[in-house]
Amino acid sequence: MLRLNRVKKEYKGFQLDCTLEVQKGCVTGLIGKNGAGKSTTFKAILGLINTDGGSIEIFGKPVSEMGIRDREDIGVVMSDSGFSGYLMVCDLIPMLKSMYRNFREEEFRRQCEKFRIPMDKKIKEFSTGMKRKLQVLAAITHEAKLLILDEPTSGLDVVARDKLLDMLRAYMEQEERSILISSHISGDLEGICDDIYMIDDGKIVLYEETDVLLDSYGILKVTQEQYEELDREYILRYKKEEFGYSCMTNQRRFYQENYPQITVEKGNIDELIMMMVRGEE
Amino acid sequence: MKGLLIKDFKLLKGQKQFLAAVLVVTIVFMTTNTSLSFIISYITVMMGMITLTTISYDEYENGMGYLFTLPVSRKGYVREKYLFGVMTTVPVLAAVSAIAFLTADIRHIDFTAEEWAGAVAGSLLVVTMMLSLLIPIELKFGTERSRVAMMIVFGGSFVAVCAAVKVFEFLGIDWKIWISRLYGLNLSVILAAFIVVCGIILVVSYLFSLRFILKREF
Repeated sequence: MLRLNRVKKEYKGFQLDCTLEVQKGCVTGLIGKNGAGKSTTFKAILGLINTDGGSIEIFGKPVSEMGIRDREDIGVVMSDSGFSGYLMVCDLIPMLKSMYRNFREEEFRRQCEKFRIPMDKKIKEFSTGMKRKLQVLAAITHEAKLLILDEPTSGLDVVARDKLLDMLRAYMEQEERSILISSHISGDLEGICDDIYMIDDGKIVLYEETDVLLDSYGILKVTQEQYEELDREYILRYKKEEFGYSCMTNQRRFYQENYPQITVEKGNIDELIMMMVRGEE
Repeated sequence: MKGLLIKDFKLLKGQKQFLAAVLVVTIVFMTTNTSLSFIISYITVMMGMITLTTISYDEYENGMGYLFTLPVSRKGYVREKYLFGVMTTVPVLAAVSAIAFLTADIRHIDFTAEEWAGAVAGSLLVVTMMLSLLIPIELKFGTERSRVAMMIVFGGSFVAVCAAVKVFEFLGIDWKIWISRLYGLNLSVILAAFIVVCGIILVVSYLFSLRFILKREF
């Protein structure tokens, strides 16, 4: 569906070098702290910035060769932009109908009503959450094959976030659809993604299937003495703490079985990010 | 392109107050003023501003970047802006010119066919120059920075025209004779010539706009 191979983009003090792939039928997450390169990656995929190297393919076609018809198969949510604030939702409907051959007007109207998005209010008067919901609705109501969602849940309250994730799950019920999604709320990604890429300082530092990440990865809390005696073969990162060390492993059971005296926590994604970014190899 | 035109006409619909003000000014001038040439060019320029406003509205909160994630090509966007510019100015210019012609007749104002043609051709040229300069500037620099760029371009143009006049004077070339020669030509020839000149200016401007938008990052 989507393939990035050594995509490079250089800014002052920042260099993106990203390789990732979104498989057909999969929801792939991209996580990382602010400024890690998530939005730059999304913009490169969407052709909004010129890259300095590498290749990007969507539906097996280089992104530079994608025509207007190909773009109909993509739905997008951007973290820092959206529809012109001077338009109203009722203005968008004829526009979207004209742009997308498969735009489902009734479904769009129904979802707008469900999410309480007013038809006759200028978009600039919407809250951030409402703007985000509107973009998501526009993205999923034209039979897109691929959704590229940069922070779609930011600014949403817990209930709205849950509803939105349900919509994405419903979207994925049809075969041959895929999603690339970024979020700073790791819980969102844990619940919906099949696999996850972790990006830091412009580089992919970890790729794993979500199930593996949650089942096999863990954080060991060890004292100085325990650390020195530890078999560190499966330790990916470690970090000095007041009590000794925190160690990240991708073989949690190995340590649980062989070192019963050690505290082994089932790491959540936030902790794993923290270890990947701040820990040492 | 149809979707973009719908968007811009929807944005135009949101400009009711601006359009109402232009209409009021037109009515007031048509009923009280005798300078009909001025009102023709004033209304045309005001309508030309609308195209520039739609670009600013597209730029609002980086919206232009999002627009290019929809089935919209950069080339299509630039084409649509010029088409929208023509669609919003030319019919209004035609209408206001016709109304001015009728007003002159009803109010017995001395407004010859040559003056009328001069006003129409002049307005067409002014609005073409305005859009041809400002569309590429807005597309290259964005709404904020384009204000500075506009001042530089207008200031530079003014200095260039003054310098050209001085150079002609220094060389002993009487440029005013060119204008008086224009009045000697057939009306339809003048209008046709102006339309051709405006067309060429628009094409050159379009090529610059396209170059700028293709290079721009969002």
